[in-house]
Amino acid sequence: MLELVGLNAGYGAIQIVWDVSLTVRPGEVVALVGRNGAGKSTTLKAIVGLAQVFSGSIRVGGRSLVGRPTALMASYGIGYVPQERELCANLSVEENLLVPIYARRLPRKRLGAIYERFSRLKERRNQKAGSLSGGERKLLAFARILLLDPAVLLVDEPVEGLMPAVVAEVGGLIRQLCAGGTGVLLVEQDVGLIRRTADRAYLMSRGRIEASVREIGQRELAQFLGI
Amino acid sequence: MVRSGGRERATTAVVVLALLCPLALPDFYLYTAADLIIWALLAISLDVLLGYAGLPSFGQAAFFGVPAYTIGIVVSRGGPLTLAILAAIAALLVIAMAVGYFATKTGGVGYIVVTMLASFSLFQLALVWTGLTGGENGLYLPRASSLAVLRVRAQYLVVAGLGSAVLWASRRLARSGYGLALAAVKSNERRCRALGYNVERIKLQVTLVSAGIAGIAGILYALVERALAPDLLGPGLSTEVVIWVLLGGAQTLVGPIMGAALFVTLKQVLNTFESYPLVLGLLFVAVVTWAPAGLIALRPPGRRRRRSPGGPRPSPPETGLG
Repeated sequence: MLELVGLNAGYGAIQIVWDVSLTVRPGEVVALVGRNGAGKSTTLKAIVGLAQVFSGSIRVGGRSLVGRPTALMASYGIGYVPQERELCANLSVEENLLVPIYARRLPRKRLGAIYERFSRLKERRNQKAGSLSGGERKLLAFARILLLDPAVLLVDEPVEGLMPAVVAEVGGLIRQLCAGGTGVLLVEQDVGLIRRTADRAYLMSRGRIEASVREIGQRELAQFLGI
Repeated sequence: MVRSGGRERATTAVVVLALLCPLALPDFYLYTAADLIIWALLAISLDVLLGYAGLPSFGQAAFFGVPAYTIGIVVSRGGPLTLAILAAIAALLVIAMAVGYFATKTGGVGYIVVTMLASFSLFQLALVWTGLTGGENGLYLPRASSLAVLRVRAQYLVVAGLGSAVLWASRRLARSGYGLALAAVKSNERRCRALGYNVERIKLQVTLVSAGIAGIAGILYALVERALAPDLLGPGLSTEVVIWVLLGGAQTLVGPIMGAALFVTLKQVLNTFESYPLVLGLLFVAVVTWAPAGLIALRPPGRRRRRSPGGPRPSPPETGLG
């Protein structure tokens, strides 16, 4: 279980996240919803050590993550799919998938399981990641994290700029993951995706959690996001 | 990463030719060929760092000159050659650890600055610490403490054998999982961290590997050439190595060998002309302009790859030099 208590975080002297507390249980999809600049992405970055934690606690399975280097997050069971779809653009699809396998010394056969799940990636295994479409890149970013079999998955705006068919595919993928016991913290502004995939949501504004909602109403969400 | 069959054949051809040369060439050319192999090793050392890991070292001469000078200092004071080689390895390890630690700690442009400063500082030190280094006059290794005790052919075989072994090992490294980690770190450092790589450790390790290759070249240089001057540590040679790598084609191993051979040969042929640096400079500018991926990417007109009119152009390998 991921548990944040009284988290204050930011970059250098600038505080972005104020007193944020939230939990993500195993097999649960929790959405973190808010307008641009609300502090959602910074919250995720603080969890994986890419933003500075000023105070508060971050725990996964009882283990504190504060002050731990980002390189250790994968070994603590944290998977992070950033907003920027950060791939190694000069490497092929297969080489991108081999990077976490070598990093964590995982069995290579996991690659076969990933190709079974993502047949499109198998077709493009020798293609440079930089030449993939936006949707394929997102699938590759997911596939690479899934190789690590994370206990908690942090996903930052996974469907931004993607076609509706790919949005549905990504949504289905997230639901499949949580059915397997992975807890997912989803930062998203797509009201449809949030309603289809999230079990509950935290509404975030100006770096603070404004409310925690169990029933996610489309109208309330749209109103909160200013759509 | 290098995968094409053409480059595979080119590499094999270079190694075979290097080993066969002693059978056909007279001693003078053998001596020149051994010299070129030593410079090629220095070029390979930078290609591992710059081409494969994207770490722009402008101080490669430090890793070359320090072990060379250490051997010179020990043997010129009557020390045995074995002790001199051990001392050279120890000195290289110390300097590589120190430079690697601070260069990777600062990162980015800092890597350039730290490596360049190391090279410049050691060059100045070699100039002013005349009691130890001989200053501007440098050091000269006695014949008995060098490879000169061997025949020229035997000397060549030692250099060619070591050179081939280093090239083979570098290719193995580039194609291994570790080579993939280097390529991934070069491509996207932050992402590699999130996937579980200790990026700083990888950078330090590859700096040490690169320094090790440059150090082998430096030790061979001292044992073959026997004359050591401060230039072997300086920013001039450090910058020249960068030119060799970019001229031949980074991230190919064979390209930098070609670049070093071409540049050094042209320098020797043209140095009777006063303005030869200008010619070499223009050559470098021409290659960077018309063959940004280096000479190795040039193909004979009949062997150009066909591509569709709207198809993507082949891009030069990233070097980390912007």
